[in-house]
Amino acid sequence: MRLYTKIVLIVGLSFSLSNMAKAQFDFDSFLEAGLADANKLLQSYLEPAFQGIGYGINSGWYNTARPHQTLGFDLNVSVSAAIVPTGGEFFTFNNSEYSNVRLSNGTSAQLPTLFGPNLGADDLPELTFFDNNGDQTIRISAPTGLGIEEEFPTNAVPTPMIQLGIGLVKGTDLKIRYVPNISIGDDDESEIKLFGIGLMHDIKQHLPVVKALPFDLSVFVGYTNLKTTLAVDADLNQFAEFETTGTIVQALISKKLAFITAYGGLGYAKSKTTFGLLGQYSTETTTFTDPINLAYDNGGVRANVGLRIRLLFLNIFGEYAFQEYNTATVGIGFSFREGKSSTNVPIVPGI
Amino acid sequence: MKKISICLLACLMGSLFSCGEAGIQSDISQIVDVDPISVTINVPPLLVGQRIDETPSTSVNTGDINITSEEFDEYSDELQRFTINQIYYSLSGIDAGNETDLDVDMSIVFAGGSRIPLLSTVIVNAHAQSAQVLLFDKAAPGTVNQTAIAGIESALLNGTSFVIEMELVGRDVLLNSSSDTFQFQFKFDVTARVQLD
Repeated sequence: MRLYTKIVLIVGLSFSLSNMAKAQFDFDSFLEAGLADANKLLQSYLEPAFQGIGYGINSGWYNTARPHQTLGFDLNVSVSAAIVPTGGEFFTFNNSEYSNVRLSNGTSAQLPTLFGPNLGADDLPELTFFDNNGDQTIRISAPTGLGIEEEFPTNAVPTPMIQLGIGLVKGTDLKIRYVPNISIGDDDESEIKLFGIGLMHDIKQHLPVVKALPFDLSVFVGYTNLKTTLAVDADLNQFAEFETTGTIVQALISKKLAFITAYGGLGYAKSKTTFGLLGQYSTETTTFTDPINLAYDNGGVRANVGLRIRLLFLNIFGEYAFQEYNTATVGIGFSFREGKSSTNVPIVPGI
Repeated sequence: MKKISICLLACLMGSLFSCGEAGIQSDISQIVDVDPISVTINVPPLLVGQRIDETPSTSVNTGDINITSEEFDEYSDELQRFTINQIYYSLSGIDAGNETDLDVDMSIVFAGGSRIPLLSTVIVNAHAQSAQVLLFDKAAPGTVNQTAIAGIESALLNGTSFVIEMELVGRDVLLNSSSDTFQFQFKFDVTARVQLD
């Protein structure tokens, strides 16, 4: 059974529904080698994918620091690309950290992650798997990366988002990210749901001196939860479940000049992603229950700058966030009843 | 909302990434055992217990060898090539007290009947061989016929069987009975190159 294929396909669903299944090798051997080894190897190999989702999910919340007027609203769709840093393209495999998996040659090697280069078999270190008796079961090329950077300008993990913002009162916006529990797949056996909530509040109005200055200043806090359940084999009650939560707290500043708004944010963002392979999985010798459980955390300072172009009600925006996985976001949407700022003095007279 | 979501998840993401034209390549290697074959050497009854120069020639073969494994079979549509890394043999079951060297001529007979010599070798003190012995190493092929090895690799890729024929002659033989039957087993260390487009 090409279990590994299925896992990568599941992980790949977040990124590509068609192509990532190519990164496959015999995962049964990993399970035969023991769950600890299987989890450790997959944890390292898949890390950029899940970390990237974590960074991406905290992006795209806003494109101005100015809240709507009461009952004003905006609807945006965006996609963020968390750029995998060079250090995320490889991980170090040390024989000493594994029980039943060894490099065929040497004791330590740099292996590509899922987002590493696509290396040919001749360039990949070979892994030897042993059973619990110490007998060699199989040798396999270390999993290769997908070589995304070779095909695209950047090596990034994309995260799509859809979001509604509603103006409340006193310079406060409520942001909602919501996708109901929808079924996907040929037989509707997989599910995905998204929920996020954010609040943006104009704090400039509360600052006696600052409120006279010609820019907008807000604070923002947001929380997003993305949960996906995907069928590995629904008939066998085998599923994979991954869940990402992201939290962000930032101070925002923006300045509108005619139809262009420049904006930026500074604060803290963190995320956690868990991945579990649920159900019973059998190899030639053993049956494993819920064999794979991976968890990834990240958190740190997040600074971002962005630009929005407004054409009547249409907004086109892009931003770049500086963090461990720098993240670029582009989006499009429309908004009505945007807030007014009495201190926004036009640069060009008459505008 | 649902349509937008699906569109976001499927179309947008699906269009962003690709492995490109290179595909994914992987080597899967395994040591595959071949069923042991029985070999019997004989000496005339009058010479039991006496050292003789050689026994009559004995011909045996492995029967059809299909080197398969679950791992190889899973990728049967994506196999690009097979490589024979090493061939081992092991001997077992020579009765205690018996002594012999073995002259062995090995040939590979492929489906269709073509026969290619593989190797002629002498197994010194065959009765003392307990561990597996390296017969062929890709890194140091020695006198092993590369054409035969290439033929085996080709047969594996094509999914056809082959047979190892052996002609054995006991040398410097001391048997305590008129015959001795022992087991001769081959092991192949094989690598399958898998190319996933």
